Amino acid sequence: MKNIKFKSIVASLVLLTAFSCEELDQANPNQPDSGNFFITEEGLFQGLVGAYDQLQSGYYDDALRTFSFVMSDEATQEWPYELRELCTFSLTDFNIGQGIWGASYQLISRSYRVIEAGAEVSGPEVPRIVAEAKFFVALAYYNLIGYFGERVAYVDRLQAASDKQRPAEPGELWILAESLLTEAIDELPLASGVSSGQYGRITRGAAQTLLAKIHLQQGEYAEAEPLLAAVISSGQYSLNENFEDNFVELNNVNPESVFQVNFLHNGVASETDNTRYFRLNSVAENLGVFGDIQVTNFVVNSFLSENDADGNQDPRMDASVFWAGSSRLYYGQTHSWWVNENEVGNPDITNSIYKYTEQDVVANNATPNVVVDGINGGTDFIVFRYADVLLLYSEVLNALGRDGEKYTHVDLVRQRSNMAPLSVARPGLNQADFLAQIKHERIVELVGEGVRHYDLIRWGDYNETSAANDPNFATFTRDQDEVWPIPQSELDVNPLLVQNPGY
Amino acid sequence: MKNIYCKEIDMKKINQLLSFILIGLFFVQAAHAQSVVSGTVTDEGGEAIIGANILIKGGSTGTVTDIEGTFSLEVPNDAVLVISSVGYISQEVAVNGRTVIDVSMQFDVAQLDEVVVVGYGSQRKQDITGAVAIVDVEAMQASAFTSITDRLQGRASGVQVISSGEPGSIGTIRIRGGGFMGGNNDPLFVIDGVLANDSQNLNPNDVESIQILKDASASAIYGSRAANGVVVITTKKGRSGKAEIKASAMFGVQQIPKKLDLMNASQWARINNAARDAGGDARLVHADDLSHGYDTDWQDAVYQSGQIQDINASISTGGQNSKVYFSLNNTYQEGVVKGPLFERVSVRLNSEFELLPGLSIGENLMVGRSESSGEQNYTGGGEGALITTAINSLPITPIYDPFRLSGYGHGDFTNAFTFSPNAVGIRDLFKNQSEQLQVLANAYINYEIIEGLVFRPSLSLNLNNGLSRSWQRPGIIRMTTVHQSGLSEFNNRSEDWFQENRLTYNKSFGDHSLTATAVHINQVTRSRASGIEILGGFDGDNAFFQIGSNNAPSNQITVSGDEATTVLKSFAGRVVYNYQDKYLFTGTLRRDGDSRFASGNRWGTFPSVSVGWNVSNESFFSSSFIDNLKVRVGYGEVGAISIGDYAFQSLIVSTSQGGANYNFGPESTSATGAIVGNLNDRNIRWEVSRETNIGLELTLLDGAVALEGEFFMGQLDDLLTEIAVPSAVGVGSAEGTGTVLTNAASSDRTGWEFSVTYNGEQGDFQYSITANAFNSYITAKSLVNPFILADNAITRIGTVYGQFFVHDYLGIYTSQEQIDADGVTVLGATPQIGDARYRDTNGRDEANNLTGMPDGNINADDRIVAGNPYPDVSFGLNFEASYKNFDFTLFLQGMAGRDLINGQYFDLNNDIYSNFTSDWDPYIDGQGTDPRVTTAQDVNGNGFMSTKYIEDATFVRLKNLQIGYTFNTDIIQDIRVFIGGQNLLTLTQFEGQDPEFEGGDIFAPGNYGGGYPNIRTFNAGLNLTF
Repeated sequence: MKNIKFKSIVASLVLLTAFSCEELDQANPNQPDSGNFFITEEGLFQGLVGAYDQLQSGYYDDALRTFSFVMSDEATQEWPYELRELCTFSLTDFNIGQGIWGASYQLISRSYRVIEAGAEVSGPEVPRIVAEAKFFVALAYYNLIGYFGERVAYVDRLQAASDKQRPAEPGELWILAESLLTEAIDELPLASGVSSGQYGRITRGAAQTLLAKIHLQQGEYAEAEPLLAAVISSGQYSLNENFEDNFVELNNVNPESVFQVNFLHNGVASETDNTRYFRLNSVAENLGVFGDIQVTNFVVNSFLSENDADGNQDPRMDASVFWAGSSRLYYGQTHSWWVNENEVGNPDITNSIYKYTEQDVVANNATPNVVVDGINGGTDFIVFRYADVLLLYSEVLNALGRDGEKYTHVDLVRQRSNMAPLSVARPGLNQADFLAQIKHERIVELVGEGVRHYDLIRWGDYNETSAANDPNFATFTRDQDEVWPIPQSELDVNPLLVQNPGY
Repeated sequence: MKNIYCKEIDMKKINQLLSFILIGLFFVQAAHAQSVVSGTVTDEGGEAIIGANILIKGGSTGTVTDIEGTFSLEVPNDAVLVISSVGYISQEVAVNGRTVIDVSMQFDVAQLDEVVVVGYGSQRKQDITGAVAIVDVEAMQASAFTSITDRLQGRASGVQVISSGEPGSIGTIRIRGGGFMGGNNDPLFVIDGVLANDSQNLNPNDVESIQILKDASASAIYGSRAANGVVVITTKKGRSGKAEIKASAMFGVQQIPKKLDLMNASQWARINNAARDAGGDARLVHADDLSHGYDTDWQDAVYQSGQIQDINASISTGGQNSKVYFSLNNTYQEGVVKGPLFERVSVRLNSEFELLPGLSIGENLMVGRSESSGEQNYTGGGEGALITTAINSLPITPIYDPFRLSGYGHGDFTNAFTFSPNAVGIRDLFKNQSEQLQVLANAYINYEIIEGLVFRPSLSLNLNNGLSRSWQRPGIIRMTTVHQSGLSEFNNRSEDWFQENRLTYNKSFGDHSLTATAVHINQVTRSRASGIEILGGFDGDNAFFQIGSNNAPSNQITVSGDEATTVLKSFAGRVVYNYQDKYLFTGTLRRDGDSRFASGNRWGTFPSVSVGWNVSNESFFSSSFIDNLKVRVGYGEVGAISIGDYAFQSLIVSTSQGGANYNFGPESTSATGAIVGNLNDRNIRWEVSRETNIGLELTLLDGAVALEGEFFMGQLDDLLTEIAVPSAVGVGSAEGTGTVLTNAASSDRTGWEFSVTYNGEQGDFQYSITANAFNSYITAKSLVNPFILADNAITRIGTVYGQFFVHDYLGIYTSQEQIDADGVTVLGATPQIGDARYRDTNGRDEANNLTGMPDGNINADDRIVAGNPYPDVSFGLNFEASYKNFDFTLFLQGMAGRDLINGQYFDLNNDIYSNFTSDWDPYIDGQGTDPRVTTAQDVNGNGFMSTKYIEDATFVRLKNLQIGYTFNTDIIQDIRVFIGGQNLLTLTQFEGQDPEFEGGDIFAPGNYGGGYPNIRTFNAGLNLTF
């Protein structure tokens, strides 16, 4: 019996220690759960930064600029690559818009997370943060409608993985965007209210400009007028003395930028994104850059059609495009080197964009024939430039018949670049001729900045009539090519969506 | 450790209950009028049998024989003693008042290996009612493979192992074909009761026995981790008696068994010139001017012969109350290319002590360290593993080129147009190394509370510490690509702790025999990983590749790290019942709770039931040649877990590096953002196998022939699959719709397994043949989409996964008449003479629906299902013989009826920038049988994957051959010397480097792409027993 007692003691000791208290409920030690993150002002701001992040990679770093560029009469693409289908309105790849579609809805999703969480958080900065998120939702729909039309997926709140989105009704998204922006404008600070360290955050002027553009795309000039007037009269913005300062890396606050997407200056660091696309396109393929996208001769001829006040070439020209007569070097090489040494897509068009190509960085570190580093580009991309606002305002005043005022703002833009005032060069233009002049002003001022595609739509020129400037438009099919197909991969997983007409 | 031993309120009740039972059992003691009987139990040869059981029939009292085979027992005068011992026929002896009873036991030939470990206990083989493969461990140990998994190749029906020759690699093991889409198709390894994975730290020579639980009824005791089968490994234990000291050493040389037959410089130049002529490009300088003098055989440049050695020493001993086994192992293996290495040092100590009759304690301890360097990889822009790169490289590129900056030859646009990096440069400049330290330990108490009731608590640990590093020197070894120096280093540690309490009750009453087992297990796994990657910063000739010794800019240094805790709580029970050794029943039930799932989904129940009928034990059964006939049927439900920790959670991604960040201010100051990083299904759960198994066991001709067959059918349900969600949901990639991993697909799995053993003898010549053959078919039952396309493969509901889906190749066009007669276009373009000719099988109507009718154009719609990526049968055949002092082992393994897409052949011959196989004969100037080549970007279908590249990959491989001779000396009891080899011969029509191939991707299992092939080894060694 002694043995048994001993054995029992041993066994009981084992039993006493036998049960662990580790629970099946294990908190994740690596990442916070989304359920309890956006509950403070700090968390909310981080969510907003996440939305800002969506502006960079896959959106304003290349895709939007490139698509807007080649879809307009500014540019063409001759080699049989995917963009060629876009240029010539002969799409066979119905997923071509997937990137912009996905990025836009990511921006909407990240923004609605902030908007919805913001309703439960209190703090002095919360209304401003929520207002910025509302601006982003409106911006994303502005982009979506521009490419896909109004029958895109309707999202006005956070979505669950199992949700299937219905197509928006015509006009519905404009109303949503307008109401979001109207709410946001009151809560957003003026540019002067944004500290230098926060430069790049959304201002009241940005929201007013976007709302004005949304009205203009619907032909609502009267509604746009007070918004543009407010931006101009706010005294927050002015034109840079030097036109080209808008397109290079300058580590200062740019008074001409109404809304820009920041990129990491001179960076290769991984913590945030770089801009790349224009940096990677030249007249021909070499030095590690592509030769896919060519600027139409229409653009070059627009510049050449008028000399400046001193009888010299428009000073904006060489800063905007790299062409046969350019005085500039492109990545250390002359225009003739690019054309003669390399294979050019369309030998009749030997122009490429020069804005935003960061020649300064290359000049600093490049020796001839060194491959261009694709990611080392950091110029901020100005989405809404004050010159654009001024030109739009002249266009609006013209449309509203306010003939006495319509020259003022376009002349500010012209005179900055030493062009004779329009009121002197072409006084007394009637409404139609003034609009034609504005169309010209916008190409020489804004080429390559992603506005031309919207301009053509607004003017009713987004059709075969633009073939005079860009022969690609000759193959435009009405009631189809105004918009892209809804990405096929989206239709495959969401049976509620409806393909756009003609596709 | 502090958490492991803390107490839990809920468990107090269970604790009290168990204590109460224990105390109650003290009083279960019986008393009768008694006398003492003693005696000795011996075998047929008069040797003492240690540990034989002496039981009083109909009672619960008994004893076991000691080291001299003697016993002493108080018995009633009219008692009948039941004497039994494993491997002997039980006897009943009436006491009849005697005080000394000596017993001679008869060997039970048919049941020498009868007790097998089946998970949380052991079972007599004859009681087994599930599909359990018992591996012939002795035959397996003749292999020079360094891992247990690789040595299992071909040893058990239904167990497929695909090995590679890379030192330190562990082959892919699939039991019954796997089939879990979530990705985890590896069986569970249970090593001395500890749930683990196979590891290179384990010394295969320590293995005493391996049982493989194949079907769901047998494996269900392991519940949520059993669906891929369970490999139950028991390591060697000490033996009472004189110390047995063994030592063995094996040395070998390894070489590549097959060099691909590729083109030399002039052959390559002919094709390249033709391609450039056709494309309107100027010929390459050196392709025309072969007097330049380079004709590099890149395979010769990198292949070497490598050494292998394996040294073992072990001691097995024991006293009256103790048993100890100690072993030491050192294994060293070089690669067949310079760089890859494997070295292991592994130590084991297994011991058990009987403190009191019925109370023993024991432990198993393995400490192992392994170090390995894998095949080097080019990571300087474009990937490339060393061997594949060597095969792709052009013969006109020199190995070393003094005119190049780096000194290594590489491609350029005018001389040797190739994007291949220099294979020798990869070998010299790119390095990797990983080290693993593992402690696998368990300690247990075996306490027989009352006769037949054993309580066994144990505590186990599987500790793994890993360090892996890769680094490279800077250089230019590819075209114009400059690669930077760099170093990346990753550390990880994981601890698996297991607390197990097991109660086993064993009772026979009359014709009934019952074994009941109940187990409670707590498992806690804690893992932690950290890593750093540095690009640049190690540029001097004497750079120290240490993370502290870099001078890279801070933005080129990335760090990572995470940790996880996984908790599993399990309850398992098993009842084994046997009536008259005729009717057998086994039932198991396991409940698993797993912290990897959301609350509400954490607990799962995994039941099984199986029955068996020993027909040959029936009184009506009489046969002169059938010794044993058993049929059995079982059904079980088991789980597979393929998801990581916290996968059910919706998580925030917020990191200062690489996160969703933005830079504000004119100076680009970074602000850290936060986004929801994943789409998740909160209800994600185990994948489940529900399987029925029917088995038959037959022994004939006095045990000379043993046959075993299995047939199984079942479903794999709740398979994890990615479901596409609209991008408008907002999470996912901008490149496509997002996906969410969900349990949403299912498969049918059926198959058969067969094995046969024949033992024969003619005088001094004894031999045995063991053969097995098996197959399994996994077909898609429900998928999210009606079909799934993958690389050259399609999966449709009702068919096997990943059937080849390629164009039907009909040769090439050799005349305009043929082109005109066919009248088809390829991707809209009219073919030219020399272009590939394909069968037009399909087209589309105006509504864009497939018509099944030719449409005059060859495009993706014309692909057909062809070939079969799965073997019709896999097999292994082992032949062993001995004659006097000689012994001989021959082992064949193979697969039949399997086709593979030879992607290696396709890649070589469809890339003008790589070398070609020497049999490639493109159409040039009216000559040639393969499609023409051109550098022009014209539209033709010559690069389509087609039936041309589907090859019969049937093979038979002489996996192992060994001849040994054993003799004795005065000092050394046995000396055995042997010579042998591995992979000495392969019979196959497959043109690729190695037909032994595992595709990995369930949706595209048949795309062979090369890699590190199995290698040939010649070895010799000796085994000493002292």
